[in-house]
Amino acid sequence: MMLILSSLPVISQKSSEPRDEFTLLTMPYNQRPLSLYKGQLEVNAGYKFAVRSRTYDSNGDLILLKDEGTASVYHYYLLELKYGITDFLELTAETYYSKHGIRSVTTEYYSLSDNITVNTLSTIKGMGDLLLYGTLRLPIDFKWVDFGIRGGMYLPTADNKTSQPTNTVTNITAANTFTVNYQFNEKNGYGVPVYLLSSDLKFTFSKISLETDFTFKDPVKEGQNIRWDQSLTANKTFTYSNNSYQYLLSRSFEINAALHFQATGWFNIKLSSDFMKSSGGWTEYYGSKYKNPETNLFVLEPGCEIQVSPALTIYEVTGFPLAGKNMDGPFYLFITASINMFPFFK
Amino acid sequence: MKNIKMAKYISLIPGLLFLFCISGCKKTEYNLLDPESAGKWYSYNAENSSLPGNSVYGITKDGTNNLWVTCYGNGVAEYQNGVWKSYNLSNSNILSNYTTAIETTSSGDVLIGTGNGLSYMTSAGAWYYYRDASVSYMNINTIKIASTGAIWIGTEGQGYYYFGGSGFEHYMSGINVNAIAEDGNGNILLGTDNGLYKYSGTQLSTSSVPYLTISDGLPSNEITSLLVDSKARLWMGFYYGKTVSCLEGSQLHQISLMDGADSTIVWDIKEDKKGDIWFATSRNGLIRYDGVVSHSYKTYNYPGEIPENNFASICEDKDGNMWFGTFNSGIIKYTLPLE
Amino acid sequence: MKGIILIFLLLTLDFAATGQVEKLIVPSDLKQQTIVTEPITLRKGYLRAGIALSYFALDKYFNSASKKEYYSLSSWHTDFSYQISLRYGITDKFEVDCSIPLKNESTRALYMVSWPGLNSNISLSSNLKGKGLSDCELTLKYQLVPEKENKISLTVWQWLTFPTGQKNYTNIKSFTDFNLPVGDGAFSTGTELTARRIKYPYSYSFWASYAINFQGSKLISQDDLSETKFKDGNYLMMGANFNIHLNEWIALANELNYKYNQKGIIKYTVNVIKDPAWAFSYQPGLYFQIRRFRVAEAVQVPIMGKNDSADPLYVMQVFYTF
Repeated sequence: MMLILSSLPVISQKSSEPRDEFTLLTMPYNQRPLSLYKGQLEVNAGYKFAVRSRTYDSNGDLILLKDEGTASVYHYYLLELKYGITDFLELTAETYYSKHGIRSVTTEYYSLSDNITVNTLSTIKGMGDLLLYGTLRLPIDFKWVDFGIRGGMYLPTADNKTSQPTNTVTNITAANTFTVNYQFNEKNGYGVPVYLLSSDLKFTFSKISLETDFTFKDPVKEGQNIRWDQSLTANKTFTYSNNSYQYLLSRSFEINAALHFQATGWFNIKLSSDFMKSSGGWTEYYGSKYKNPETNLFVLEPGCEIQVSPALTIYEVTGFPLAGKNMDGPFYLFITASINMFPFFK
Repeated sequence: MKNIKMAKYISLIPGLLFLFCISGCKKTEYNLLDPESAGKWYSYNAENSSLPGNSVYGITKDGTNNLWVTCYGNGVAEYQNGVWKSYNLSNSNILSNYTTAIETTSSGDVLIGTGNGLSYMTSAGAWYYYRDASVSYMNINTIKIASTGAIWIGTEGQGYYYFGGSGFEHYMSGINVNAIAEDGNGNILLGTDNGLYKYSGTQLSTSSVPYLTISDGLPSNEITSLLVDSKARLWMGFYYGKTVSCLEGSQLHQISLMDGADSTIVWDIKEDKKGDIWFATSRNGLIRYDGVVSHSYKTYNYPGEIPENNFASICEDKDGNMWFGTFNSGIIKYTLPLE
Repeated sequence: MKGIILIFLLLTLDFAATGQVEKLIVPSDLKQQTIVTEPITLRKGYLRAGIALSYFALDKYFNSASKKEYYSLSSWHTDFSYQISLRYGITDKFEVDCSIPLKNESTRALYMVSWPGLNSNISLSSNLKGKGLSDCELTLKYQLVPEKENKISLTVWQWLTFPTGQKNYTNIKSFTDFNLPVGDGAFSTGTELTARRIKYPYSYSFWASYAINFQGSKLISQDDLSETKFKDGNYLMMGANFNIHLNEWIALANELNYKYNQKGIIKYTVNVIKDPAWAFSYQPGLYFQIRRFRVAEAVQVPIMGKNDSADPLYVMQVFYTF
């Protein structure tokens, strides 16, 4: 009878049972606590492909960027390392790399003797900051409820200073007939440390689980970046100058609520909704400090988890933005491969 | 054992909260501007404000960052705390209501150019004037206070007047001096109908050799406006030109105004905080050169915001807003967009 | 005894996901083989039907110096196409395939034009679409050296592409309003040789192909009044493929391939040469075999190239074997 019970992974585990690696690694989502088990190492590598074809303006109205020819794609690569110090304490290190090019509407200027076409591209590329945080959950064996808190910080390891533009002039057919291609190059780093505080709550009723989490981010201090200016010389080359400016990142909070259904021991499907809001902060423009616009975004995320083997799990999530304000609402597909093991313990 | 472990973990929580509080305490509070207020045009004229007149040929700001404007036919006005306070013949000892140019000194005195002489109001409110009795008229085009404190006055047909501390001196009679600027080395540059002159310590005369003319590459000798910008470039606007000239070091090049006109009169040139160069023109609106391309601001592309296409003067206030004086529609304020 | 057998069976079930033990397969299971274990050609009488969805967005390209650059104009081109494929095993070594692609592409652009001298600002927008049947393809595959367990097989493929898709710009109302072509407008044929070996739990293959594009004629741009003869460059492709079982029903596919396009020619009054192009790509994919259904998701990622697109192509496929 005990063997039968242990071979059916959806039934809740008894705290007095001895646990083997296989059981822990194949624990289905609805029976899994909010942190890793003691000695468990998890490496997550993910790729997100997003199509930025819509954005929300300050009134929350949807603007279709593809109608303006300014839609774009972005690629996001995630790497995350987690380790269970104990059954209730987990440490995580996370970073990412992303690249994105945003085009603005091409404009042609005509006068009696001039024809100048201007293309503008802003690239945002580079590593993100390193996020280090610890997760602390209830010091009880997970049965049907779990609660955890996370605290940590984004360390400003990534470059945040805007690089010099790489503008070019092409199609020069006359002294005043040419094409200017602006290319502004921004980075992903915050430039300042940012606190992260989060709480997570999970309920499980048989095959159905509900998980909600709340995350708060707050910058530690004001930061500094540079803004570039360019001039075109008579021989159609650019000269650049820059000025520094101050900024304070906005605070943000994020609420996520997900409903999970454990269809089989290795297949879990979920529907989650995510709401993110940022406010506060400011940015200096030419000596004056302007408030950062308040932003928010609501996204619906259906997804699934497929346990391919005890060591390998694949997560797939798609994101459908439904509402927002002052923010892009890209559709995205996020696939993550998760490798789990107990490298140091038997 | 469990309880001791719990205690250890619980003790982390106050630490986290403490750090959170510190983060809130470290940041300085500022008066922040609303980004929605950027990139906006505001119009002030005699009908919708206390501005005394609609022909604003000159704008400047004083040491306390208040704006001063000339209203041709209605004296001058000072903009302070959202209200225009006017000075004209009926309420002051201004020399004339037909004011054409204005400048302020570091001590807070206001110099007002008129159609026939110079009016001078001290910071204490006392009025003086200067009119050269040896000339039949003294129509002032421009006033410049040099870094040395010397006063330079450009006139229509009477050359320029120089005040170095002991009386006005008169030079280059017969020449129209339309614009005066000072470069980073303290040299005074005069834009005239005969080209650009440069004063480097010796006063000029009608027989002085111009510093730059058509033969040196200028598109025209009739210079109407000058600016030395933050990058030490000398900008020159012309009477009936298609381009403006930019002297950078020893290189002179032309920047197309791209306003589609065969000719444009550039009455004033100023630089904004972003480093863009603004041109106030007759009949062709405002033009902003961003370092690469010239952009036009006219009644057709900013209907309701730009009331006419004839602009006479430009000034930047302490907050980085640009003020543009028109020929017939008062003055417009433009808050720079966040780009 | 019964209890021992019961316990033994339960233990086997419990560890099924971890074991990579090859089982004896029965004829109905042959239709459930994965991309790793199934032969390169379908068995006699097997029919596999499938549909593939592909998505592509134009964002970057490899320029003539092989450097990756963004397209600078404000336009957005996407291709969200379908392909119906039918594969039939005539014998255990000979298979015929038919592909019916349905293209669905769109190009949206917006340009602002400013004429201050004419007191005019206008915006020019275009929303161009190309929808419909594209060029169909017929492929014959034959195992020259039949597949045997742990032995290398050699298969030859011969395909012929028919210009069934609309090759010209149609419904031209203005220079910003017309329909895009969905076909190439010329026949092409190619031959591929594939060497493959199955060594459970993985299989690998090497392949090389050469395709010839025949001359055709079409409207090269929407402004053209008459068709112009053209010939796209022939192309050479080669690659290596490595597939491995992650578990009994999920396989991870990896492919590296190289494609070289020879120069093409457009025979205007003065010939216009289309520069040669090449691209080196990596294509990972996950293949899920759920009984006779096969669901696959793959992405082709250009890594290096010249005069070619640098954007990934995302593909999702569903097949069923009858």
